[in-house]
Amino acid sequence: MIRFALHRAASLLVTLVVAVSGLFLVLHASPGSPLTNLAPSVAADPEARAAVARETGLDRSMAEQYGDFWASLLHLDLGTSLYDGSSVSEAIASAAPVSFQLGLMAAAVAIGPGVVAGVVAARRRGRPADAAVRVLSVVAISVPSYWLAVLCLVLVGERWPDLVPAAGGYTPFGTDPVASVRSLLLPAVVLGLGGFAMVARSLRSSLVGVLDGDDVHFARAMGMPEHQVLGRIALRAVAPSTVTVVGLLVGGLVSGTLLVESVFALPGLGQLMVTAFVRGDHPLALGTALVTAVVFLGLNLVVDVAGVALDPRARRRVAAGRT
Amino acid sequence: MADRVGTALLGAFVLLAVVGPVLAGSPTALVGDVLEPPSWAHPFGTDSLGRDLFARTADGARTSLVVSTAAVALALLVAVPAGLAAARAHGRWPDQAVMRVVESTQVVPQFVLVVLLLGLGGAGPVQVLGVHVSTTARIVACIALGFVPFFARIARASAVVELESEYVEALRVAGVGERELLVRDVAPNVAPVLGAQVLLALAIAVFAEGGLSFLGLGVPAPHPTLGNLIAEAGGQLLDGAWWYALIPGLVLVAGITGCNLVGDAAADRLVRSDLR
Amino acid sequence: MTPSPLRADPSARATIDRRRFLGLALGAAVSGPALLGACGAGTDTSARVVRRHQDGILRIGVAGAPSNINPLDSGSELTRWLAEPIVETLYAYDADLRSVPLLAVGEPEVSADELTWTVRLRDDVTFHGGDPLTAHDVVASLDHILDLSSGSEWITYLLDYVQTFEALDDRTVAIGLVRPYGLLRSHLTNLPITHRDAVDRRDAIVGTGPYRLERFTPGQSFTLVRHPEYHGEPGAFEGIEFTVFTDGATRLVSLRQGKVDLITSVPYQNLRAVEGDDDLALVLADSPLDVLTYVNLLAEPFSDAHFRRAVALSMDRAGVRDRVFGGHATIGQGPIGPAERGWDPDLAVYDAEPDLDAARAELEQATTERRGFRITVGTSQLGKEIASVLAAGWATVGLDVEIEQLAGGPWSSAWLANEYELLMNTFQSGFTSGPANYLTLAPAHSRNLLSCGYVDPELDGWLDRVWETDHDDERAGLLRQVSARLAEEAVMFPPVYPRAAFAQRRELTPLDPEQLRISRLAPHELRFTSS
Repeated sequence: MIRFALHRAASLLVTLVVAVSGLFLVLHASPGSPLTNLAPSVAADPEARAAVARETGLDRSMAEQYGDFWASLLHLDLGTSLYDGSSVSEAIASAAPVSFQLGLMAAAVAIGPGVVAGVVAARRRGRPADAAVRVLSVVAISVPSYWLAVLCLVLVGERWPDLVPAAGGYTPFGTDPVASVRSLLLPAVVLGLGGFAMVARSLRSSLVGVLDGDDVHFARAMGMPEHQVLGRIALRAVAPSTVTVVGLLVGGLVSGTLLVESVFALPGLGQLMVTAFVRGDHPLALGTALVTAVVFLGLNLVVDVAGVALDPRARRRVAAGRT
Repeated sequence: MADRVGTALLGAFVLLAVVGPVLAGSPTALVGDVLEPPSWAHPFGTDSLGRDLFARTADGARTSLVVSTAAVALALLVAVPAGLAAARAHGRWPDQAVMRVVESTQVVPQFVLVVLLLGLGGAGPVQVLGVHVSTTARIVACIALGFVPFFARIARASAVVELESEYVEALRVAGVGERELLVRDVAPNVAPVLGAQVLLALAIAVFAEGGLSFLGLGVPAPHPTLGNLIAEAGGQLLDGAWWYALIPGLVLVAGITGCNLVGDAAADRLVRSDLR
Repeated sequence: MTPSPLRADPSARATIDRRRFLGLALGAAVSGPALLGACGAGTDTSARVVRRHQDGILRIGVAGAPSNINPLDSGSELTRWLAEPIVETLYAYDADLRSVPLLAVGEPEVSADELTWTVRLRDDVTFHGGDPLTAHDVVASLDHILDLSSGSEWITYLLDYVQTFEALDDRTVAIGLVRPYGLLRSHLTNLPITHRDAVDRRDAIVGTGPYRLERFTPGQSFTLVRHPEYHGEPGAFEGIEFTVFTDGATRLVSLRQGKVDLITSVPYQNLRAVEGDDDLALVLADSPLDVLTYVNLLAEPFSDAHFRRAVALSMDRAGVRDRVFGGHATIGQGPIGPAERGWDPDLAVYDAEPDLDAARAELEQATTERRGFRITVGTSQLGKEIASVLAAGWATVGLDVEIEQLAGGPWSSAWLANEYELLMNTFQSGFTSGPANYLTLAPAHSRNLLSCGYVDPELDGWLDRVWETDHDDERAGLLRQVSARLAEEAVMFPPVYPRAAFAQRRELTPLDPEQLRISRLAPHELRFTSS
């Protein structure tokens, strides 16, 4: 089991290095950079351009810059922004909590109600409750978050201003937990909606299969109470497929934060990353992409390992060395 | 039932995208006053510059349809041969190489990757190796790139299953060449599996195209897309122009829901026919 | 799918319990937001704002974050609105926009040959860190600007004119010129003086103003706190906070909800929503907000004067004014607008409505075969809308216009490389030039690095004299001539001169429209009306 986890982690690390290197190349080939963002009257002067390039280190060869990037990364130094000279690590440290809290709250919105809806639909298969869950989940998965966010911001925001993020976008959880959670509630609901649908749909379809299975019939025939049938047999049997869905959910949440943060003007990692890429602020762009990738891959690793741990068949496969 | 609703929604969306632009006037002409509510002359109302929103929504739906179909087609074109080749070399280095490349594009979620790649070049056409690439082509390419890993994995996985199946083994024994096997026997069996996923991918592509336009990275003005119609409409809600945000949004939802429902039904049928 | 002969009573009861639980959960989910919201909806917004004002912090919503916060480098309104309460200048504009001493004592001494300017500094001014203001700080600020690697916008103004500058003593600065430079007075009135240790920094601003920059999150928010040892009248607010809301609707919603007190760049479509709200005041001011409009005379089709005039004559100026700016703009003629020195209200080369017949006549005489062109705008919503309206108008005379939207960097690159046909963007000046915009005119000069290809020795002479003279009246007269010539020759013909739009809550004293003529927000001059 542990060997499986380590093996996966090592392979992800290689993937990460390849991907970040690719990103570095693409970033350097792209037209945006502090040089192109100079005031046109300055940029028009070749001498001034060259002087600025020297000052920002953009005149060095790409190999040299690439080497420097990894050298400082090994010292856990992500460098400084080419625009305001501020520390990339600090910028990420201040933005990441917003995205994490938003992601966690959205995951709660997705998984809690999603599990409830999935179980209810499976238990009441073919009845109105089931139909309601199916309709709700198809709609929830199809409504684009950015559209819903715009509608919510104006329609909900006009009536209940406390529910939309305040100026500055975010109250740190440590400062005022209630205000913090309240201000992220609406974005979290918008963000978590798609995930809710995925969890509900997947749980329903796999539960339906299990509830019809021999294990469950046998247990019921033996007089096992229904909640135990559900808890001990059915939910345990569908755990691996649900964990896979949670893996997909992670991807959806990370993507969704880009759009939702943009609509609600939340000072999170997604906003920081998009700004950095559009401006061609290389250190900040690489830093934010790296952190996003590490979080995303890390969560995927956890999901993979959990999937194996929860699925007896996969466990046997891993033990047999077929990963 | 869900199947029929899905077909109806998708049909309506495609109808609007294909016939709408023919029926409606120009999507860029200033034909009315600013922000007119829906009327006989302008069934979807007008926008903040006085352009007909029916024409713009129809044109936007067409753009969404063209961009997402092209992106999914392009992705299939790249991913299926790669997936089949990987399956053929199952476990050996070409397989490893293909899967490693696939994995390295998956270090961030698909949509994030597309945003980053488009964000880099700014929202405009670029020169790639001396060739002029329009913004729309770049968007198609970037969305397609996002789908390549998805399709390549599916193609590889189902081809591996096929290649290990008994009938293929039998054909091999009968002396059928490996390449012919792949093209004539395996590929046709992989197609339905991919087919079910294509509609779901289309739903995602329509969403992604809208999201990119929303972030200002989409198809440039003055051509509307559903995404930038929605983005522009946000502010108009403050002035009570409900139709502006609502109608293009509902059209987008109809398109995505239709793709999802029809795709679901196709996947269901596939599972059922497998069980039989 | 087996029906339930096996389903026994206990499970049924469990189901009912669960159903009741679900009902409760659903109820809570629905009513939770309503309950939370009730705290806000019950009391009215104005009372909330007054309560919020007890912390003494003025909150301002701006449309974007500066890419460089150093006010010595950037004259952009995004940088300078933030820096206004933090840094000060040697001279400053008074209520009538005359230049009067601020950090300087008295008028500068100009030598008889007009080549040496000597400025005396006040001795009672300290920086935010506590250091006194000295001539060395002024010299360091100038040094930074003239260092090419700083990339400062100011360099264009000083490079060919300023030769030497030195601290004669702690309180005296001497500036040596290559040739007479009357415009220097304007620069001394706009150029911020920064602490000598902070001139090169991009992550801090250290000035002598009533507020100091306490902290900021790049691209998102900026927090200023009162400087207790300020040499003038202390600021009325404990602090000032700038928050970036890039989306116009979000900015406006935040103002309506009372989360900010003032917003800049109100989307023009939403002006009616502001006017309809009794808690809000709309401020529309003539301001040096230019719609930069350059055509490339170095290549077809704009090298053809008839084609140029046809485009200028068929420009839908009224359409832009009414559809994009909700009527809050003046019809454009030449490059100089109503808030700027050299504005000529009587100049009327073009009508508000397109003159289609005249345009067709010009097109018939044009030698170029082209009947269309590309218009390159920035990525802002405003740029896109102006271009869309104009393109729709030009289509009516058979001109096929392609709109190209480019982000800041690529947009400038297209300009530098002369890879444009018609180039357009909105540009707020005022912070480097006061009530004028000399840089906008620069591309009309045939020897300028950004020259659009227009060659007119007489106009070059006028522009040279504009920079040289120290008489504002003469300068204004020359600028009027320049603007008229460029309009008539269809070299620079912006569609409109928009009014700048701001919105504020009534719990705040109104912005000063006179200061807005030079783009100054002067937030530190405002007061809460409630306290």
